[in-house]
Amino acid sequence: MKGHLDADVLAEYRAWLITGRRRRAIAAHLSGCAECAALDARLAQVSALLAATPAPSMPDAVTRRLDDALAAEVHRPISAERHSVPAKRRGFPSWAGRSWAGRSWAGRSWAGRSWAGRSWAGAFRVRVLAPVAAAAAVLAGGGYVLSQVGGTSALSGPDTAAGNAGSGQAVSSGFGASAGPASSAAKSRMSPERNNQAVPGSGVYVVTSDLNYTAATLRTQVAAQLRARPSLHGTLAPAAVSACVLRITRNAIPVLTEKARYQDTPATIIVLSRDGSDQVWVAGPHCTATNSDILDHVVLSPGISAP
Amino acid sequence: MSASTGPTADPGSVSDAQLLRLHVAGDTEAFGELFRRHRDRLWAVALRTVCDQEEAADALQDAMLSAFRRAGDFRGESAVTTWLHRIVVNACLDRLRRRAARPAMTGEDEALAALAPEAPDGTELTAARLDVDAALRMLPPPQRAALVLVDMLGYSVSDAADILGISPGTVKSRCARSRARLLPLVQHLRGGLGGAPPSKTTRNQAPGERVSPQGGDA
Repeated sequence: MKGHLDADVLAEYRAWLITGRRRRAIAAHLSGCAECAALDARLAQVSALLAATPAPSMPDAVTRRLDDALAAEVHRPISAERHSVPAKRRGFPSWAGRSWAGRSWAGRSWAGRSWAGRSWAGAFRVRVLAPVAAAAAVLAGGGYVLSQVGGTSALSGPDTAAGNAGSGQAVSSGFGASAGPASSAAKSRMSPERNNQAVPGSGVYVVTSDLNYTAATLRTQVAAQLRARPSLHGTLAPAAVSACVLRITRNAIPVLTEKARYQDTPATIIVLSRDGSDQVWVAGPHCTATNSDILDHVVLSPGISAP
Repeated sequence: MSASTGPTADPGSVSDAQLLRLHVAGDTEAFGELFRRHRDRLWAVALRTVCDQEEAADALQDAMLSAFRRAGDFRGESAVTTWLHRIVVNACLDRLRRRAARPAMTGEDEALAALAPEAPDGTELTAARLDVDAALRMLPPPQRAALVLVDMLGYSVSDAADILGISPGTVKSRCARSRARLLPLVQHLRGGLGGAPPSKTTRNQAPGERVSPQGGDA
């Protein structure tokens, strides 16, 4: 090899972009040319210098700014805008519908713990005020609420429901106002999201069962329960349960809320009819207005809850 | 870099992929947790790539919101961290392209001032960092992005290729060209740093192959 090697060639040599006979020639030259060997050594130190340069830490002002931006995004109203922007978010990816059988939940307490107390957590608290307020309104609404909901049940008419309200024993179909046959006409005109929105006059009804759902059989168990829906009777959910449910469904009224067990631990099964499919969440015992504690999530598509 | 464990993931914690699933499923906190896990690294990538604190913050915010909204698009072909980095790098390069298309808004001196360290002391390493930053600014952005990922943040060539959406061979050649170009700009620093070993405490080094004769796979 004639002359000396330049830095470009040596850099390519070092990155193994040069191979074969040319590589062997360069190697031979380096072993006999102190000048090029020194250049090669200096080149090696460029990477070392870069590697030794400390990574910049995020300035507090930027951290706060990103926190605020994310909080604003999370707080965006669940109205047309929210659902129209990420159209893809509604179309769940294939893996979202898969059961997470076999995953380790050793760290399940992550929810609300690992980042509780950080600025993120505070940012999310405001969001749940609306659902909580809605639930409170439902509870305070008494007979009016129940007569509304009662109208949606195939089994219990408005009169029955109102009568039960008087005795403080709310009995209804156990399903939200939007899911019943009475609202099917409205459904065809309105988007499911808007139709499902919690408004004063509708509420979360919860049924209690001794079923033990499992990760492996969640789909079939939920499907069976949804088919048996007309025979289920629920009660107006306590405010804490409503808050948890509405947090997970983002204010939409589920077609089924069931207090049961999941993998032998107390859990709430929540089914929301959306876009022709049934979104199924399993919320753990720590689910509150501020902490979802989602244990599992599957999608039944096509859904079977729709009338 | 693997799908299940980020550099900060605890053994018992929920994986990145699970957090993303929870976010798509409607959990309002999952994305915040996911982003918080990686934001220091993402910040480093953004700042090194655009070489300007304000632009880096803008790019990172764009990227964060984009990832938040497009999470449903994630198909799991790559690690979640790779996906996040790709969105950040693309946001950075978009900004640089837009900046190149308009008259210069930020002078070199201002940019340097913006990069002034928040560290209270003017240590040797801090001074070196400023000089390295200034040298990096001399590189074309696509070359710089590759070099930052591989040499500064310790990504493997194949991970960097995934992030940048280019072939591993292109990553290698961009890195090689960048190193040759930086050599005259940083030579004076080598003495200042001496033979100081790469600090384990100041780097977010991910395990991965280095671009070196040993790591060559082309």
